[in-house]
Amino acid sequence: MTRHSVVEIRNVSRSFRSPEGAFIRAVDDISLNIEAGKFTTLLGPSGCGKTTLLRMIGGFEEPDQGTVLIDGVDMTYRPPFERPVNTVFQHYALFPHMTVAENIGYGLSVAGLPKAEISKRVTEALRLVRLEGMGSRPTRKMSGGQQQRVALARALILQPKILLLDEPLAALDRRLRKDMQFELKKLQHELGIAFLCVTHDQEEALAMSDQIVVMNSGHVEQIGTPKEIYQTPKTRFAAGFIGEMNFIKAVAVGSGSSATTYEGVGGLKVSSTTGTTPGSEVTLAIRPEHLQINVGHTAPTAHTIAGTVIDSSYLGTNTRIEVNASGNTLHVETEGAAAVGNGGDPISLEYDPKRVLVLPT
Amino acid sequence: MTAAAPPARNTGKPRKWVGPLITLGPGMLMLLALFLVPIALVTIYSVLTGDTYGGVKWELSPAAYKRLVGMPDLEELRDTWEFVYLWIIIKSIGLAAVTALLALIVGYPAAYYIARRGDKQKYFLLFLVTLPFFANALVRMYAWILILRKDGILNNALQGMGLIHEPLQMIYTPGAVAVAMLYQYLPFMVLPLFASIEKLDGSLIEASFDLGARRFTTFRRVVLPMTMPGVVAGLVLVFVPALGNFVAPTLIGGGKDLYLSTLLAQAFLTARDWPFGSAVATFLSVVVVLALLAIAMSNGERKAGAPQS
Repeated sequence: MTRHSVVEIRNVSRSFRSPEGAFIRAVDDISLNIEAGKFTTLLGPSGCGKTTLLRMIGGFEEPDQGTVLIDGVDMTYRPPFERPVNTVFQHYALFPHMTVAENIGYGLSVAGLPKAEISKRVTEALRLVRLEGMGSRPTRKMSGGQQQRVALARALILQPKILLLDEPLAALDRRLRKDMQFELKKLQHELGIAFLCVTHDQEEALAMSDQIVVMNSGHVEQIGTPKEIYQTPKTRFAAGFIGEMNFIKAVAVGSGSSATTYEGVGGLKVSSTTGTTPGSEVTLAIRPEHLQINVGHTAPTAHTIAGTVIDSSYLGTNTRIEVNASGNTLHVETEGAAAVGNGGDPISLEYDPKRVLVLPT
Repeated sequence: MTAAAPPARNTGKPRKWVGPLITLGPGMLMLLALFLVPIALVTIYSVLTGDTYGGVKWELSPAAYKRLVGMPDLEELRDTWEFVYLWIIIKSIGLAAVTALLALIVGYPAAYYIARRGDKQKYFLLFLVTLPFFANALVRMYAWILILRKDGILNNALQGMGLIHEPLQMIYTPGAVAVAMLYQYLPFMVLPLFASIEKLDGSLIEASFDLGARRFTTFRRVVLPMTMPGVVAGLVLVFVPALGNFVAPTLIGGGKDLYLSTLLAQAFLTARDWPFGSAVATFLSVVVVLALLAIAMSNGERKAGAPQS
């Protein structure tokens, strides 16, 4: 099967006027392809332009510049009712004066389908989102999770080329959110319709997506699978936004046969298999779980960092330890309850140079 | 001990009637003295016998109602049914209804526009809507005379543009009365409509667009049903005072076409037939109350069917 893009975004920009009168570039010259049949997530902090981008695909905003193609057709300035795209809104936007079935059947009824056909497809849609027999209920009487499903059914019944989800889980409580993450992913795989989901929750993005688009202040930082984004972030922002990360500002000082040595604050020496020209300033990044903690003074090796414990907290499945290494604060995570002693106790951290990422400052 | 005194401590139960008495009391007293008592008086007068020079004699008589519905009456030298007065009532209700509908048609787009502006603009525009209230109602009606009369501003303008050659008869027509009342009551339509349109969640409109509904379909199936409480409130607020309006039919209608208000004035002031005037007033009140009840009940049914916020 050849891959093709269901949505192509070409050099799209959109500015808003802030309350103070200054222009803000919410989306700044973004080009992006959304693949058909995949679960893609736009991930970024609030104000990064992800929702604006989604709304331009849905037809609720027009770009100042650039082109939006949906299924190969230029839809840049088409109104939402002419686009083969449907949206699950952040607060669901269910019609309060209609029942569940009327909400789900709204799109079909507007399209002028016969009543029997509508009711047949509404029943199917209700089954799809596991709300059998609830069609005649008023939407107001339903729980948040149920309302979410109604919104999903209402959008999916029109068999869109792509389903847009605007922070779909933000209004649900934590436990329900986990269930719905799984359910959304399953639904997407069953239907094979492309899903494009906007979220600021990195855990959610990792759990659901085939493809993550990391966004920051109006532009794309990185596109990749959850694994790629987590394991090999390409920018400092991507590294810091997804999961926990230790950053060490350092300068390349010299290369050995297999690793380059970097020197950070306080003469802290770290080596990485990724090399760069000596003298260049970089940011080293290493995940807390990739630091192995050893209590007490141990013989220094090439791949250890000496330090002292600042504090530690036990979190059930793991323990988080804050370490001071020559004036750099590093976070370490170990499985289970680690006996690391008290604040000020000396420890050493062991790491694999392959795990040390070298990012531009 | 006065009613306003706080309940003494340690007595356990606070007196439940203190709160309602303080808050509702003054208003209720006003309504009782200035509304219920006069209404009761009018209702009683309507079934008494009229005195020659106004006032009533304390003798029960159905004459006023017989006359209102046009029953044959030999004393008045009528031997057939005559629906003069019923016709006036129907005409008045029709005029008030047309005014209310016109106000809805003119007011809805305006209210919608205002409700969708930014906060600053919104309240300035609302202020403009209420601006006519700052001028005296009578003065405003005289202004309409200047506009509508034969050698008035409108006729002169139309003739000047060469659109008409003879001045149009605009003043002293039911249409002119309706337009003048529309002008007078439009704020009563715009304000409740504004309130309910402003509450409407914009994402519902986006959702409707998203599901393929064009603008008109979205209006008919989402916006209008959701703002129905405002529509009903506006219609009632225009219809009820328009039904009893005296100034517009007298000044703009020329007083030659009798409407309910002018009929009432004539019965009390010119004909000095108090029971008849009271019967007209009572009949009118009953019609209005029945209409409001019907609206309230249909609202209740809709709520039971599909609950709204």
